[in-house]
Amino acid sequence: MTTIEPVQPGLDVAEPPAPATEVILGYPSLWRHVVHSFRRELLPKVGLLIVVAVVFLAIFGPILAPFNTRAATNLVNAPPSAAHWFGTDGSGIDVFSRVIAAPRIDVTIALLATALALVIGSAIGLFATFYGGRAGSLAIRGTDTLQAFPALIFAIIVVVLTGHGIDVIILVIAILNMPLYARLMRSEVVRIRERSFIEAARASGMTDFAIAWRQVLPNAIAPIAAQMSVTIGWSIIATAGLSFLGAGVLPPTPEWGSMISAGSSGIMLGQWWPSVFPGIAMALTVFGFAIIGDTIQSALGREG
Amino acid sequence: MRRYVAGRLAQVIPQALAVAVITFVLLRLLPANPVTQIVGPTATKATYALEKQRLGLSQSMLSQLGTFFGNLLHGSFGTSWQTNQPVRTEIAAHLPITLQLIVMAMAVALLFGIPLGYLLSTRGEGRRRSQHRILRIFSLFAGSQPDFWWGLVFIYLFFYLFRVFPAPLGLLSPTEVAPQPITGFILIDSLLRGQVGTFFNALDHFALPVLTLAFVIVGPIIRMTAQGMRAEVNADYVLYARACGLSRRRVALSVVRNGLSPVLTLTGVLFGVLLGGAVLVETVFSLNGLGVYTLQSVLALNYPSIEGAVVVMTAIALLVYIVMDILHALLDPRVRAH
Amino acid sequence: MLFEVAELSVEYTVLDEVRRAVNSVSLGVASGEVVGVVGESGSGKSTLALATLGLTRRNARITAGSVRLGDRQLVGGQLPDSELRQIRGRRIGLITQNARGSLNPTVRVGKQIATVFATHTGARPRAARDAAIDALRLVGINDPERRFDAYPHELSGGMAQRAVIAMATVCRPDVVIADEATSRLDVTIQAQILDDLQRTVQEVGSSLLLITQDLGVIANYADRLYVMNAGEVVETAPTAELFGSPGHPASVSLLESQLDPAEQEFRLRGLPVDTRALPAGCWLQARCPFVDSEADCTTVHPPLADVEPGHQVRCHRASVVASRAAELAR
Repeated sequence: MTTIEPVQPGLDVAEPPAPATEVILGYPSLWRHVVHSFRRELLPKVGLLIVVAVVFLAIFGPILAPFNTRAATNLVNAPPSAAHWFGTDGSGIDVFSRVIAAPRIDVTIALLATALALVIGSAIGLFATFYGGRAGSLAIRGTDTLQAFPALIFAIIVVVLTGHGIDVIILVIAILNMPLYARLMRSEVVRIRERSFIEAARASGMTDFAIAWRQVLPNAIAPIAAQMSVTIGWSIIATAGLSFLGAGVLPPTPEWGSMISAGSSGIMLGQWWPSVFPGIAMALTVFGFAIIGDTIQSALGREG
Repeated sequence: MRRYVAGRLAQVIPQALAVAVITFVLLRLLPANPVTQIVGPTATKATYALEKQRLGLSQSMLSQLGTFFGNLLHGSFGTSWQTNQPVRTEIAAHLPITLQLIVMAMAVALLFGIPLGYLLSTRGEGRRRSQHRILRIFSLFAGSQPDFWWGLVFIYLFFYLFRVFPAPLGLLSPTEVAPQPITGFILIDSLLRGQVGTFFNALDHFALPVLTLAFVIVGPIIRMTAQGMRAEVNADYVLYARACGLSRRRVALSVVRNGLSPVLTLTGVLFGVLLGGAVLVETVFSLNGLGVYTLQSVLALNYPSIEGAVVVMTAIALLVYIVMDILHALLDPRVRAH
Repeated sequence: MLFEVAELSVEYTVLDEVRRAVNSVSLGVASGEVVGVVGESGSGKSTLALATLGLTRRNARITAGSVRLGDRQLVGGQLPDSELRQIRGRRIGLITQNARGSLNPTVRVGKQIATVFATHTGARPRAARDAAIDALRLVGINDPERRFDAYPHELSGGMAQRAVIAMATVCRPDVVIADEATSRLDVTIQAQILDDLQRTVQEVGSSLLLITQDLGVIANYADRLYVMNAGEVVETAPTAELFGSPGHPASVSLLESQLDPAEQEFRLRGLPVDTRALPAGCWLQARCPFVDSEADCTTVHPPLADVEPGHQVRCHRASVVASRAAELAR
C-alpha cells in the first residue's frame, strides 16, 4: 500500500488511493489549499468580507458612530429615516450608531475568549496526550466533566454571581470551549503519534518539544483552524444571549443582545427596528465566521 | 448488552455527582451574597446572621455538602429560598414544558434534516448542482444563527404580519382552561382529559418556539447526516456489494443504516445543548419552562433551586447520551465489542 | 476463450490531474484455466479487476475497450445495468484484498453470503442459509454454522478472506477474479489461503484470474501469466516459460527473489512511472537498463510482439535482453 509522503512532489500511484489513505502535509501545502479554496468561489469571499468588516468595526466602530451611543434623547422609537438610518430605540438613541459600536464588545469578547480556549485547551490536550500518565488522563477526564454542564446556565451563574464583568464573560466562555480544543488536540496527537516519522524523528534525537512543534502541530492545525471560526461565532451568540437575558453585558453599553432584548417588547406593536437591525448585524457576522470555518474545513478535508 | 448499559450508567453517576458538587461549591465561592439579596442592604447584623443561619450558609462547606447529599439521598433538593416550596415540586412543574419543547423541536429537525442530509450526500452533478448548493448554504447559515433573535423574527412574521400563529404569551390562550395534571405534560394531559381543543391550542402556542429551535439545529443535522452517508458511500463494502450483483437500492439502504451513527451522537449532543439553552427561547415566547425557572433563580440568588435545576438538567442530558449510545450499539455491532 | 478483455482503458482524476491507470489491456481466460496477472504495487491491477465487472471507483471511468464473458458483452456493449447485475456475483465472482473492509460491518457474515445467493437464485432463506454454510465449509472454515453468525470485525484476517472467497464462489461462477487475495495477510497463512482458494475453485468448476504482486506466489497455481507495469501488459507467457526465460525487465524485477546477483542488472531502476505524464516511446525508458535511443526506445511506444509462440513481450530490445539472459543462464 503506497502512501503519499509529506511535502515531496508525490510518489506516483497508478491506482486511486483507497479511501483510508491519509495525507500528511507540511505548512506550505496546507495554506496553498486554503488560499486556493478562498479564491475559487464567491461565498468564501463574502464571508471574508463580513469578517473583515466586523473586525474593522470592532476597532473603529465607536469612533465612526454618527450619534452618541449612550445619551438618551426625546426622539423615542422613531422609525428609520434619512437622519437615523436604523431609527431610534426606546431611549431615543440612534440605533445605527449602537449597532456599529457593539462589535467592540461582542467581537472582542469572542476573539479573546476563543484565543484563550484555544491556547489553554490545546496545551492541555497536547501535554496530556503526549506525556500520558495519570495526570494526563485526569486532565482529560476533568475537561470531559466540564462538558456535562449545561453550558449557558453555567455561564449565567458565573456571570451573574460575579457582577457582570466583561473579563468574567471572556473567562467563562473560554472555559466552556476549552474541552473541545483539548479533545481536538488529543485526537490529532493520537492520530499522528502512530506515524512512523515521529519514531524516526525521535530516533534521530529531536527533543519532544521540537517534535511537537515541527511535526505534530502543523498537522493538528487543520481541524483546529476550522473549529476556531465556529467558536468565535458561538461566542458572539453566547455573549449576546447572556446580555439578552440580562445576565451578561448590562445596558447602557452598546451590545447586540441587550439591544435586541430592549426592543423585543416593541415587536408585537410593529416596532421592529430596534431589535431587527442589531439582529441582522449579528446574523450576518456569525454567518460570516461560519463560512470561513466551513471553507477552511473543506479545503483541508480534501487532503485528509 | 446489559453489561454495556450498566457500564455506561456507572460512568454517569460519578459525572452527575461531580457536577452537583461543583455547582454547589461554585455557588458558595463566587462573590455574590444571597443573604443580602434576601434581607436587603440595610438589615441589622442580627437579622443578617439569623437569615444566614436559616439558609445554612453559616455552616462549613463540608457540612453544607453533607446536608445537600443527605437531602439528595431522600430525593429532595431542599426548599426554594424565594417561595419556600420544595424545589423538587417546582422543577416538576416547569420541566415538562421544556421537555415538550425540546422533544418536538428535535423531532421536527430530524424529520426534515435526515432526508435532506441524505440528499446532500448523493452525487451533486448536473441539475442537482443548484439543489446541493442551496442546501449546503442553508444548513451552514441556519446552523450558525442565534435562536432568540430568530424567534422574534418569526413572531413578527407569523404573528404580527401573517396572523398564522398566536401571540407569544405563554402556553395557552386566556380563554382556555388548563387540564388537571396527570403526567404534568400539558399535551398529554389535555388529551387524556378529553380536552381536545386545549390540546390544539397548546400545540398552536408551541408551534413558533418549536419552529425557532428546529431552525437552528436542522443545519448541523443535515451536514452531519450528509457526512455520515458520504463516508459510507465511499467505503469498500459498498463497492464490493455492487460487485456481487446487489442492486443500487439495496446498497443505498445499508449506506443509510450505517451512516446514521454520527447523527445519533449529534442528536444526543444537541439535546444537551437545547436543555441548557432553552432559556432563550422560553424567554422570547414567555414559556414557563425549566430554563426560565433557572434564570430567575440565578437572578434571585436562590441557591437550592439553582442546584436542583442544574442537577436535573445534567442528569437528563447524561441519560439521553446513554440512550443514544444504546441505539448506537444496536445499530452498529462494532460498538458492542467494548 | 471464456472470458476476454480487449483493449480496456481506465483513467481517474485526483485533484484535477488525470492518471491513466489501465492502458489498453488485453487478456483472456479459458475455461478451467488459472491465469495470473502480476505487477508491482500501483501498476493498475486492482483497477483492472473492478473494471472487468464494469465498476470503477468514484473518480475513475472506463474510457475504452470491451469485456466479454461467454456470449455476453459486459463492457463496451449496451448491456443494461439490470443484466450486468445478474452476471456480477453469479457468473463472475470477485475476491478483494481488503476482505474485512469489503464486508458490511453491521450485518452478520453468513447473512451477507446468503443474501448474495438468494439475490441471484431466488432461493428461500433456509436454502440460502444452507448454501452459505456449505460455501463457508468449502473454503476451509471449521464450524461454519457458528461462523455464520459472526460479524466481520470478529473474524481474523484469514477468516475474513475465506468468507469473501465463499461469497465469491457461492453461486458457482464461471470465472473467479482474485485481486491480491492474500497480500494483506500474514505470510504464514498466505499459502494456506491460496490452497483453499484453488481447491474451492476447482470444486466449483470456475476459471481463476489470480492477481498479485508476488510472482513467487503464483508459480504453483497459474498456467499462464500476464505481467503489468504502468497500467499496461508488458509480457505474457505460460508460467514455466516466463520463469525460465523472462523477456522484459519488469518481469525480471518481479523475479528478483529468484535471481542471483549477476542477473540484478536486468532489474528496473527507480520508482514507478508517473501516469499523469507518460513519455513518447517506451514508458519505462527512464528505468530500463537496456534503453537505447537507436532502437526507438525513446520515440516509438513498443507493441506487444511474439518472441515465441504464446510468449509476447513489449520491448524493442527483446532479442538483446533474451540473449543477455541466455548468457547468464544457470
